[in-house]
Amino acid sequence: MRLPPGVSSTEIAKVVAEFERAVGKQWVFTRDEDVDLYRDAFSPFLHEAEELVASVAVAPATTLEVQEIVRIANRHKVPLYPISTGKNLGYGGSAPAYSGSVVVDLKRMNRVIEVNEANAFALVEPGVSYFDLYHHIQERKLKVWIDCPDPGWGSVIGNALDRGGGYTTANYRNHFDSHCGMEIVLPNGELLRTGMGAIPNAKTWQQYKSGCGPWIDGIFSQSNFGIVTKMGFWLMPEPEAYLRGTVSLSHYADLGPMVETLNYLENARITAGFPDIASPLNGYPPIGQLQLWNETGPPSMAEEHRKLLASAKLGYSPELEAYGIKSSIPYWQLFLSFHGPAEVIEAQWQAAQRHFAKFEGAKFRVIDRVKLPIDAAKADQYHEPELGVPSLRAFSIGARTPWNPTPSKGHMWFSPIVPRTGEAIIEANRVFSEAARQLDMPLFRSFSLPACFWERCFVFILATPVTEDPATNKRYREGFKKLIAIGGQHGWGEYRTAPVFQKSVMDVYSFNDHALQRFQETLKDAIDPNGIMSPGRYAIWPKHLRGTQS
Amino acid sequence: MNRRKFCLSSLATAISGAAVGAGCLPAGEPGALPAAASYPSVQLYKFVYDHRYPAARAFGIAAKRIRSTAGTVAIAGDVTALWSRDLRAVWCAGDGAIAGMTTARSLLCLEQLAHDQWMRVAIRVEHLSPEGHGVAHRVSAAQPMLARMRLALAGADWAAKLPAALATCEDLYAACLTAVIGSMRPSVRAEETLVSFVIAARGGIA
Repeated sequence: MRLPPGVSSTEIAKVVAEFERAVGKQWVFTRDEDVDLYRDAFSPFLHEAEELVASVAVAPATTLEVQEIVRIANRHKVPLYPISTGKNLGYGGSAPAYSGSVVVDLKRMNRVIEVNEANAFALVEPGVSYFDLYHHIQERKLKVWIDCPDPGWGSVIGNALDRGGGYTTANYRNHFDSHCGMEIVLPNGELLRTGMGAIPNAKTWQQYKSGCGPWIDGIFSQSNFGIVTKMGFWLMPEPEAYLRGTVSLSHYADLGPMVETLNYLENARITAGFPDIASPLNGYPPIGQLQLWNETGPPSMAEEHRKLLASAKLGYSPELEAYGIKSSIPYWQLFLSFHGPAEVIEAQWQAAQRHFAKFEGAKFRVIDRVKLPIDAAKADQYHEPELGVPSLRAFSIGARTPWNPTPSKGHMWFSPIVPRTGEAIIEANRVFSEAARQLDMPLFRSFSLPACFWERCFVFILATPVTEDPATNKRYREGFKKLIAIGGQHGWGEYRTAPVFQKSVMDVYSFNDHALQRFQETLKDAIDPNGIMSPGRYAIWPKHLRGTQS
Repeated sequence: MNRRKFCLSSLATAISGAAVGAGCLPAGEPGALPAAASYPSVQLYKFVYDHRYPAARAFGIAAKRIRSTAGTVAIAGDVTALWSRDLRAVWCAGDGAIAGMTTARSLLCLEQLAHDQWMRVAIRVEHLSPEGHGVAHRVSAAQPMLARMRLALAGADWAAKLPAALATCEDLYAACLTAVIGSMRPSVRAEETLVSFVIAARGGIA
C-alpha cells in the first residue's frame, strides 16, 4: 500500500480502520491493484515516476459518511481528494493533485433527488452522470432536457464544478452558471447549504440562486474548500423543434465582421443554440462534425487545394481565397442552431439570414429541420449533445481508424480563452503557431478555430497528445507550460487545466502581485487549517505545503 | 451479490523473466499445457467486437458459436448504443460480464464505464499489428488464464480461438501477470493494436 505524504504506516492503518467503520470494509480500497483504478487514464506522466497517484480510496454512500470521512482525515491530517465519477480525462481524470492523497470516490452517491418538470430544475448527488440523469428523465417521460458535454459519461456536478460546457442553448451551456444551490461538506465536517438552501425547510433552493448576502458558490468550483454533496441545476424545457443552418462566406476578411454579427445575434438571443465555426477552405471542421470526420474520414481535398493550403500563412493567401471562390468552397462556414416552436425558430433563422445578407456572396442552407422529440435511436444522425442526448462518440477522436492508424495514448487539453473577435482568432493563431513551431509542439500546426461554448468569449480547445515515449511527453509538458505563459503575456488565460499545469495557469492570473492567489490562500487557511482538502488543486496549497511544490 | 473473486487489473509483472517488449514467450511452446481450472468460470453475458477489422470479425464469427451467452454485438468504434440500450441496465443490476475484441479506445470507454459499476478488466490481450505478419500478443491475466491464452494465441487462427478461451475466464481474485506471446517486432508500437478482453465484476464488493 502506498502512503500519503508524511503519514506513517501505523497512522494510515488507524485511518483505514476508521474509514472502514464509517463506510464499511468493502468500500475502502488499499491494495495497489484497486487504487490503480484511480490513475489518470490520460496521464501525461505515462510510465514516469512523477505520475500523480492515490494512496487509498474510500467510497461513501451518504453525506453523513462524507462528513465522517472528513472528520477522520482532520484528526489524522490525511489529505483527501474528492472525485465525482472521475471522468475528467484530458484535465486530470481521477488522480489527485497532491500525489498520495486519499481519493474520496463519490460515485455511490448517485441519487437523482428531484426532477421538477413544471419549473424545469433538478437536484442531484455527485455520482449522477449525464447518462443517469438523461435516462431518469426519459424513463419518466419528463419534458425537460439536460445539457451535456462531449462525452456524456461525466458527473453532472463534477463537470459543473470544473466549469465544463455543453451544446444546447446559451442559458444552459455554461454548466456552472446553470446551477442553482449547493450542499457542501466543509473541511471541518460541517454541512453548509448555499443560496436559498440556507433557510431551514427552504422552498426555493433550486429556484433562486443567490439567496441574500455574499454569494459564495463560486469558491467551491475549481477549488479545495469543501466536498459538494448536492447541487441543483436548471434544465431546458423540451423544445418543440430544432433547426440548424449554415452561413457560408467566401472572403478571408469576412471573419471579423462575421464574428461581430454572430455576437449581436447571440447576445440579442436571435440565435441561442451552439454556434459552430468551420473553415472548409482551411480544412477545419465544425466541432459538431468532428466525430464524423473521425468515423468516416475527412472530406477529400484536391491536390491544388492541398498545395495552396500548405503555402498559406495564418490560413490565408490570395491564391487560396481565389481558389475557394472559383471552386465554391467557403472560407468560413458558421453553423447556427435554434430550439423552440417551429414558427419562432423559422423567424429567428430568417432574421439571422437578413443580418448576414450584407456579406458579398453569402450563402445560406438549412442542414436540419427536426420536429422534437426525436426517437433516441435516431439521435446519432446528429451531433447528439446539441439535442440534449449524451454520447461517447467523442472518443472516436484520436481512436484507431483506417484514417488514423497510430492513435495517441490520451491527450492534454490546451484551452485558452480569447476575445470574441475575428482579430483575436488570427492573433492567437499567429502567437501560438509561432510558439508551437519553436517548441516543436503538435498543435496550431494549421489554422485553428475556437469554440463558442460561452457567450462573449472564444475558447480554443486543442489536444496535445500523450505518447508512449516519456521523453516526448516531458517535452510536451514543458512546451505546454511555455504556451500557457506566452498566452498570459498576451492577456489570455486557460479556463481549466490538469493538475500538472495548474500552477502555470494560475501564475498567469497574477494581477497586483498575485492578489487573487493570496486571497484564495487566506480563505484556505481559514476554512481548512489542517490543509486536508485537495491540497494543490488549482495551485491553492495549505500553509504547511506552500512553496514546497513545483 | 456475494463477494466475488476476480483477477485484478493488469500489473506489468513479467513472468519467466520476460519483460514486456523485451523477452517473449514462444507461441505454442510444446508441453505448455494450461493449468487446471480451480475456480468456476465467469458467466459471460455478451461478446462485443468491432466489425471494421478482419481479426475482430473472425472473433465475432467464432463468438456466435458459443451458446452460453446472450449473444454478440458488433460495434464500429462507438460504444454509446451498446452502453445506453444494453449494458447500462445489466451492469447497474450487478451482472453482465462481457468479452470482446475492439480498438483500445473502445475498451477505454467500456473500462471507464465498468469502473462506475465496480467492475474491471479481468483479462486484457493487446494484439500488436493484428492484420500483419509476426503478430504478438501482450496478455495481462491471472496465471491460470495466462497459460490458457497462450495456447489459444499460438496459431494463425488465434482470433477465432480467443472467444472460447476468454469464456473460460476464472472467477479468481489474484494479481495479473503480463507476458508477451509470439515474436514482437521492435518497430511495432503498443498503440497500433486491437485489444481483446473480459470485463467482469470487481472482487470485494458485496
